[in-house]
Amino acid sequence: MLEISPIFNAMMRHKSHALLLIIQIALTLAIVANAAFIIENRLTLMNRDSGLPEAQLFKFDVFSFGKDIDLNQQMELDETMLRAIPGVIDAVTINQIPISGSGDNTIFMDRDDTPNKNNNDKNLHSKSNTPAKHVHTGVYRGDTHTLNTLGVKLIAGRNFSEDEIIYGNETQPISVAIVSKAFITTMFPELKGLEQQGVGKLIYVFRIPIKIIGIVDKLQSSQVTSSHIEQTIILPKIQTRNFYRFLIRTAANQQQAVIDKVENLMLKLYPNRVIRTPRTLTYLRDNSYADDKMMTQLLMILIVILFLITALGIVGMAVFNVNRRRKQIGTRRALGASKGNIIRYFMIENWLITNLGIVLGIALSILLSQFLMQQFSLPKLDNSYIMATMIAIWLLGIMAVYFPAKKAAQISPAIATRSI
Amino acid sequence: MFNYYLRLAWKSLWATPVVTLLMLIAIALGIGSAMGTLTIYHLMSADPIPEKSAQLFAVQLKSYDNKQSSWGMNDGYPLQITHQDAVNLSHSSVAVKQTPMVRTGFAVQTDNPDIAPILKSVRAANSDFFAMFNAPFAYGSAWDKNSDQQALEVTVIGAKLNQQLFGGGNNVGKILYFDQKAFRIVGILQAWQPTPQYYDVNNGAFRTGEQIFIPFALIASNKYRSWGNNNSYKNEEVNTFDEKLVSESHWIQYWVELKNPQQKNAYQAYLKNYISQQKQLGRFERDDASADLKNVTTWLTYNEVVSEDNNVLVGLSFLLLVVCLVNTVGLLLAKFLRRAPEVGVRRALGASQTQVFLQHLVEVSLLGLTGGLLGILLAQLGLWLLKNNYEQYQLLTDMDITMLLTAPVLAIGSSIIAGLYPAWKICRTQPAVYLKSQ
Repeated sequence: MLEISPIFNAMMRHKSHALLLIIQIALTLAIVANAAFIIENRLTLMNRDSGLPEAQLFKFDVFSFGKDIDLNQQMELDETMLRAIPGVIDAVTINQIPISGSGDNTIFMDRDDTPNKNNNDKNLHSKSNTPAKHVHTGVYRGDTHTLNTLGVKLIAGRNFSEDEIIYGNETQPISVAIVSKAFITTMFPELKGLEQQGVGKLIYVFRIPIKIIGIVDKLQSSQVTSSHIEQTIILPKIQTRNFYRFLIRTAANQQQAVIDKVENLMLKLYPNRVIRTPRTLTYLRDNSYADDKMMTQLLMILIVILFLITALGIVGMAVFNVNRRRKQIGTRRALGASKGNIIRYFMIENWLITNLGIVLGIALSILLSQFLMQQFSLPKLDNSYIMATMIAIWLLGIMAVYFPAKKAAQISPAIATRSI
Repeated sequence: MFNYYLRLAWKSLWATPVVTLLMLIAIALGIGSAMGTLTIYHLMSADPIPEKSAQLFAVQLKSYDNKQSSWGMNDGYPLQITHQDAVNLSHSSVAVKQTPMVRTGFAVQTDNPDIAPILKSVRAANSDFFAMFNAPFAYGSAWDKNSDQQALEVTVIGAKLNQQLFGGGNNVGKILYFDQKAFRIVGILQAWQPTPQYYDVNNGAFRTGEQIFIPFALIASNKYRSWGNNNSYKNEEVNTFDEKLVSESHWIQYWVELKNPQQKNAYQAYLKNYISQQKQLGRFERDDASADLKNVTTWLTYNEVVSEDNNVLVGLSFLLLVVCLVNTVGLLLAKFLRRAPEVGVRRALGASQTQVFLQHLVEVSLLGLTGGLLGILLAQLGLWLLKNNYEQYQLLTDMDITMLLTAPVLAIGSSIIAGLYPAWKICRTQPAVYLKSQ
């Protein structure tokens, strides 16, 4: 039924035209499939849940240059004042802000693996000969208000009690911690699915044992590019520094009102300091993901341009073929071909070319993906992207060729009689 | 002859305005995206100090212990060094010029009580810093060696801060208050912003640089904290600032200037010697403890100042350019072949193949040039949009002269490549075929 063989023969009379279009379609498929894959990867990254009520949170930095105060005391006064502002749900001084791009990381271990140089008795470290597990962890330090300010849920265990908080230069070691669920699954893979049982386990840092007393469902750390972003820990410690920051949770609709007041209230409490511009978590998120956002936007533009150019190429080729074959079309019409036959002829011709282009394009997509994988830290292209792009190019081809084909069908059969 | 071809080309392009427009759009989009991404790449990978980039070296020390199989960057060297190493190295005089440095910050006030204290980031470095990195002075000069040794409270400020605090002018000798301590201004720089800011890429290579410089020794004496990265391999608890100064925490950058290979060799020998000395003190306990010197261009590549994303974008947009060109070849072929009867007549009347070929190449070049110019406009528009929408591109300004010249060359060059085949095809027209059917 399909007149593939005559169409193919006619196409072969102008091989270079067909070949150019095939190359163009193949390249388009290869680029679009890979670009779409990169876009999707980035969108997945950007849409990860930080575990926080981001719209309710903002932070600001305080830099005290005055030397006439006790910083410990001042931090407490600041906190009390901030928590009393109408609209504020809770506030805390904290060492790092989630998804802000800069913060503290430390390696925690599942046992104290420091070899005891002075003792030859191996039984002291008899537990196991395998090296201790090292887990890169984002470290938050704050007081009992940390959980409530972050707005994260405990799935097991309890919050810090007031007497567990270590202030300023108090030297006793930290003995308890709250960790994220992802921390438990990384540190103790055997507890996967039973993370609640992580409560009571010991972890080590600087040879100090720390007991896990609580587990939160989800809490990301500050560096969004890090592969360890989900592994976090909260330590009950307030460090005394002249440069510290506050995280504040308000009702979402009150946020701006509170932000507007904060600097004046802080300076009224103690003037010899600088309050840095408050930043909302939404702002920090946008900032942290700015590169990914730009990449997705630029790649989307690239895809649109490619589809546009390829559609133009198909239209151009079809128009050229129609014009070149005006007489033949007229003759076919005069010999009884219907308008539908003519349209079908061009559609099938284009469909053949598109298919050849797609076959070549699949090979090119895989090659390009392999090249990108070798050169850059990109994951392997998922086949579904090639499929989706194939379908898009099919549809694009059909749409692009339809109008020139319809125009061809309008050619009058009389044209056949005129010039012969 | 050329003028004649040009006139023919002009007429031919106007004869089929739609096809011409399609080709122009294709070329402009292709050139525009390729030039846009290439310009960003070019600016990011630019040598910020071409006259000295081979003489300035970042110093790296493999100082960590045997417990780590590797630490720091991929080659096993950390990016920064410890404070104690920085102090020790700066006592030697083997390098021509050298400076430890670190980014810190404090609240800045003037005598003018109307100006609220402002928080500023600060670079602590030795007096050699300015000569090493060619920082140009508008007034005054760098502080002297004595200030380095005595940790005197002196400062050099940038043009922007001078404008902000004093409205410009020569303010050498005036006093600024940093965290309420009085510092005397000894020098004021001219507007100076190396891009990328190669001497400290820890905090982002395309940030605006610090506007305040102070002697490095003040870090220890005034207990200024680092506003940059602090990394430690060691399980040691650091509670006080004094503990940090003697800790194994890596937070100081170190640069040396070595004018020739002899000096470089001498410095490498010195570092080797330093490491064996430290080994006797129980530090640098690894067998492969060593030092590495990387010059500016190596340093920038090493730190991946040009991000992977940029490379991917350049690659993909050049593939896009290929698609646009393939598209143009197709359109040109169609257009030229329709003109075959006309060419047949010209050939019969005596035009040589070469003449027909050249005539069509001129047409293609004219198309390429116009498309290329449109492409530059598109690229400029794109760069402008990037600059205004993305903070990270603020410092990357417009196309420089290299890029402005590259664009038309790329445009014409690629259109000629695209036009070669159609022009060759048309110039081989057999006159007889078309004479018969006329």
